[in-house]
Amino acid sequence: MSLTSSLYAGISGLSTQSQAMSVIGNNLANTNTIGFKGSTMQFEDVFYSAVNTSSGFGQVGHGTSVASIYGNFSQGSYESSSEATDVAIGGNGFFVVADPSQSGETYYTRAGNFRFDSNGYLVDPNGYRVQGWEVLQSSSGTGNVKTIGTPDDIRLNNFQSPPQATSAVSLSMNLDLGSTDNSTDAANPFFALLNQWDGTDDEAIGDSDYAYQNTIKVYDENGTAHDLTIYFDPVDDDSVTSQAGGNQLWEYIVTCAPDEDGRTIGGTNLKSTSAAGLLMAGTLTFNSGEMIGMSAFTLGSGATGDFKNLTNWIPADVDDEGYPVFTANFSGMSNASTTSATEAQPISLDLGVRTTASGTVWSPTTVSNASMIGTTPTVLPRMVSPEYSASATTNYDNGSTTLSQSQDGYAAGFLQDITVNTDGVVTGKYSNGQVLDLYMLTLANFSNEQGLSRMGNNLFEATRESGAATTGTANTGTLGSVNSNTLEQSNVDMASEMVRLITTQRGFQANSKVITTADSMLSDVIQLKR
Amino acid sequence: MIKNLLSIGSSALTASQVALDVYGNNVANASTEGYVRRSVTQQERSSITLNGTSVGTGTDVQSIVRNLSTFLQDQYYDNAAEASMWSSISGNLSFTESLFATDEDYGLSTQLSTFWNSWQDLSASPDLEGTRLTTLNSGETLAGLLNSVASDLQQQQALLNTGIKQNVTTANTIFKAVADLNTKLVANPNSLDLADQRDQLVNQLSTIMDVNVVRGDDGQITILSGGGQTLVDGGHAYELSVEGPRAVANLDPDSDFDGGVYFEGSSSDEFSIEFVTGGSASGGAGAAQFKVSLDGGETWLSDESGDPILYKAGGADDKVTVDGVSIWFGDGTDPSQPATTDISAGDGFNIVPKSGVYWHSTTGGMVNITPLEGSESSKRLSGGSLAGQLMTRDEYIGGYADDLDAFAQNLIWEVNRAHSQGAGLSPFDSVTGTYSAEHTDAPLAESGLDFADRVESGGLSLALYDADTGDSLGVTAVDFSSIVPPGTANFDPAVHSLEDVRDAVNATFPGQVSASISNGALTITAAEGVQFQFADDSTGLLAATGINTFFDGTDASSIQLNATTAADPDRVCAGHVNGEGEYNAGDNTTAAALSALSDKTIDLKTLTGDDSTSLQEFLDSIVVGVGADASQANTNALYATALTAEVSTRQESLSGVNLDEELTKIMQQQNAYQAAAKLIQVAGDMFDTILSLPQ
Repeated sequence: MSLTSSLYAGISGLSTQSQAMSVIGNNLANTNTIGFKGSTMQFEDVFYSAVNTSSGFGQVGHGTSVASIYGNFSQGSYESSSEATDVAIGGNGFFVVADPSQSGETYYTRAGNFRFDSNGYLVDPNGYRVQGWEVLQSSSGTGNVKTIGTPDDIRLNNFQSPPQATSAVSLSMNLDLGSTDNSTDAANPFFALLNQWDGTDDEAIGDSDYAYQNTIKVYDENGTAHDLTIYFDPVDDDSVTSQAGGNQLWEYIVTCAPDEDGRTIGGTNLKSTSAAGLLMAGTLTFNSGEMIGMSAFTLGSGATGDFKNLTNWIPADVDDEGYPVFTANFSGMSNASTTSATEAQPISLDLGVRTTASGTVWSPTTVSNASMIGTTPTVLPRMVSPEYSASATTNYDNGSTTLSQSQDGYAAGFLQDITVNTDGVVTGKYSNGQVLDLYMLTLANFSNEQGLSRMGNNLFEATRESGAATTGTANTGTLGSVNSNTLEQSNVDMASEMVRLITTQRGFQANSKVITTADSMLSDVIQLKR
Repeated sequence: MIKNLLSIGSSALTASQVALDVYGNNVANASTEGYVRRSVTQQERSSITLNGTSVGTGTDVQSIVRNLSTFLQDQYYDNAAEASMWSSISGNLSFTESLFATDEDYGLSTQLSTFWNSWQDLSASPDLEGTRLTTLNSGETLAGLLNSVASDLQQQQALLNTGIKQNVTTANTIFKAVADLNTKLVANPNSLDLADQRDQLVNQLSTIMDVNVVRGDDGQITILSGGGQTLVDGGHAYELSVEGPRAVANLDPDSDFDGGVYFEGSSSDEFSIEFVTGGSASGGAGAAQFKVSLDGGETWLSDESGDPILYKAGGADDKVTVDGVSIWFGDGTDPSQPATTDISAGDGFNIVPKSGVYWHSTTGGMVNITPLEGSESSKRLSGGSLAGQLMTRDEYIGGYADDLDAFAQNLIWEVNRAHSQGAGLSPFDSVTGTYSAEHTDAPLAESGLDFADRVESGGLSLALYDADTGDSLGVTAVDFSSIVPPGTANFDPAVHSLEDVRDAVNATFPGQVSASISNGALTITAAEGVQFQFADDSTGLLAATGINTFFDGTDASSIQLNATTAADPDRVCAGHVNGEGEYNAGDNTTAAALSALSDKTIDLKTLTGDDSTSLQEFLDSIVVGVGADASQANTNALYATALTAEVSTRQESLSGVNLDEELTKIMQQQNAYQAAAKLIQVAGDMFDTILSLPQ
């Protein structure tokens, strides 16, 4: 045991305190670095020498050394930003970025200051590409996002929202009870409108042939809009009302512009026939103003001869939700001209009633085509287990009016805006009003964050100690949420750093005092001999 | 952490600034039309975990919203359409009312009395030439006044047509603008100024026509007309247009008819034709028969007994005339050629002999949305200035014009009927009728003469005089026995044609009086040394052919004095040919009969049926009707305008800018801003404190 050793203990103190100073300095230097995680120096004592003391065995230490430099992975506070692609993680997790060069190295970061580059990639300031999952398009907008495959570079390469063909038309209206029967047909009073329609005429139906109409734009799969008009007319023939039992009966036809009809049945192009544009025909039954029944007929695939012949009109198919469907096949595709055809893009008609039955949906089943009804309202097919909506079409005596009308198709649109939600879903807003989920940000978590290697540039790299990254989406497992228009500030707390600055400075001063004191003691020792 | 404090302060500063911008903008636009008050909603930012506790991180501006009630908006659209329709009708009718001025010196009613009085005066002193001149003058003034009112009404209709076209153009522009804004708003749903613009456009549209607005989930609106026609659907605008007169076939599905319907002339009514029996479209015995409705098929034009009048479908040579419009059927492409196929019962045709407003869709073709009087169809326009203008044009002014024409027509007939049986002071050498028959060889009832339907069976006598001495040569009835078949002495309009009349005259007075026809007009000429007067006419043949009549013309615009009578006051018939075949200057029989027409109840024929009333009463009822319509429209306009103002006030209380309220909010936000700044200052001070820690 010697004074010299105390000198060396002091030196070890000086050197570790100065290293601690660098750590604090680095922390303070990065006090405004986005996503920066501070570090703290951990000291430890070094080996001890055994000395004999009166009480026996004793130990004298030989100074200090750096035990470890721990990262501080606590949450930093937020700062707001005007960019939607500035994202911050609230809670655990790291964004994943990949070096686009050959090596394809993957890094992790808390700094979410991402931008789209000229190639459409979402990149960090180093040009590394942010990783995410592609989203299954059919799940778009349902709130139930499904991802596809493995994480890959997030890239906006399609700035268009594809058009969607209309698959459902929904109408809610009141048909005036006092309307007069404009189209009549003694033999088939329920199909007078169908009979009246002539697609080869300049005006397929006259404006005095029906009591009310409703026109709505529907879209084909190319995004082209077409007029779809539904004509309504009451059935007031004496032969019918005498058997109707107090019910009010209306007929309707669903039509499109005759020259836009693309159906071909049995080799005949409907465009050239008088049935051009005639898509569906049927009846509505009301009692006390409320709808109590609906029938619907469309052209069957076996239709031949005169397409307006009622034997060709069979009870309509229904879609999965139980609404009757028709098709116009606007773009003239093959195998798509009847609703049962393989390529058909049927449109369902929602007037407020659907069937909840599967299998047989129309009753009575004996009516296999429209010609079998004649003047008997009791044999009009009705839906099995019908379900009426609150907004079903009514038949009150106060003027025909449309209360609501909607359809689910749309034209193509251009990307207008990008947003990111708290689940990390990157969403595109398009000029056609569509909001499409494009990607889902990948978040990574590690069993030992302290084992991550700091690579500079706000990046971390996985190491053997950190363990492999476990990836997932925000708000799942232990992963935190994603906040858009927000950046995570450096988590360096200036107050604590200042305190450390003081303690480190004082520690350094104390150690230097050890050295100067030991030195003066040594000089005292040297002066013992004159 | 101080940094979080800074961040909280900065978010609070931003939020206050945004709020101040919004409220400041409210104040700035306090008097901007169509501006809807906006307000800011804020939300807390997600919190972070510090030292094991959850700490807030500041505030975010969530959205800026417009304060508007869509229920009030819909009410406003309904009321505004109603108010603007009645205002338009009321404004136009107040002018129309002035045309029928009822003051004592001037005005139709006064002038008609003057006319009757002049006959009264003439009957008092039939021998004075002055009274004859007065009678002619008052007749001319009455005719002139009728002409001028009729032409003023037409002029007003023409002005309304201009207004209708402008309104349709404006409406189309609005459709396109709204569709455009729909497209923009669907891409950018938070754009409040675009939403303001769109609402303002719809407000404007609701004063032009009645609209029904359906709001979609995606921020787009669908505009339907009151009749259910889609005007704007998302980014697509439909179109209205003003189309000229047109006729549309509405055939029974089983009909084979491939010809067309054609028409000439114009009317403020629409004709719905429905065939009751099928058959040939070219007239004759097997011709198809149709009935006509002016209100879209609710009621049919009927005869005295209430049965629908049946018209025979004819070709270009035998047109059917209803309300001044000639209707015929012909080849599908060539109106002059007869149709080759038969018409079936149940076939219908719509004839719109006027311009109208139409809605276009690609599905069924053009749809007529011009308001139709009497129709219960709800597919037509029923509100807005456009409906007001169309209704004023067709229902009101068109109706007055029809009434005025009916009055003029009956006046002409009744006066002529009485006058033609009288005798003036100078016998005729020759006289030519003023009315022409289209078919001189057809029975008179089908001859196309304007008053053919009023001619009855009976006899017609001529009194002949020696031209030199003036002595009576006797009164002889025109004998139709020579006309074979049927060989009866009396005239029968269902049998005898105008040519038969000519032949009968020639046969009855050989060497004394001859008759001829030129251009459909009958001329009766006495032989040298013979003159004639008309002694008795129970047929109305003279009045129908325009011989020895007082008035000429058929309706209010064409009424004038018979030129022959007007040229010679002596030809004004005050007296008549008496039993001895003589006419006397002191005879006042005809003048008295004419003066008695003043309050005589007659069978007044109008388009929609017969009316038992006197001419004076009928005219008065027209004049009173115009006044009543104008005042009713004015009352309705005031009522609907008050309702609109009420809804507008309620909406204004919600969406209008209240300066006091805004200033209070501005003060609140100013305080908040100061507090936020204080936060930042505190954070700065804290930094100073920390930084001063190490020596």
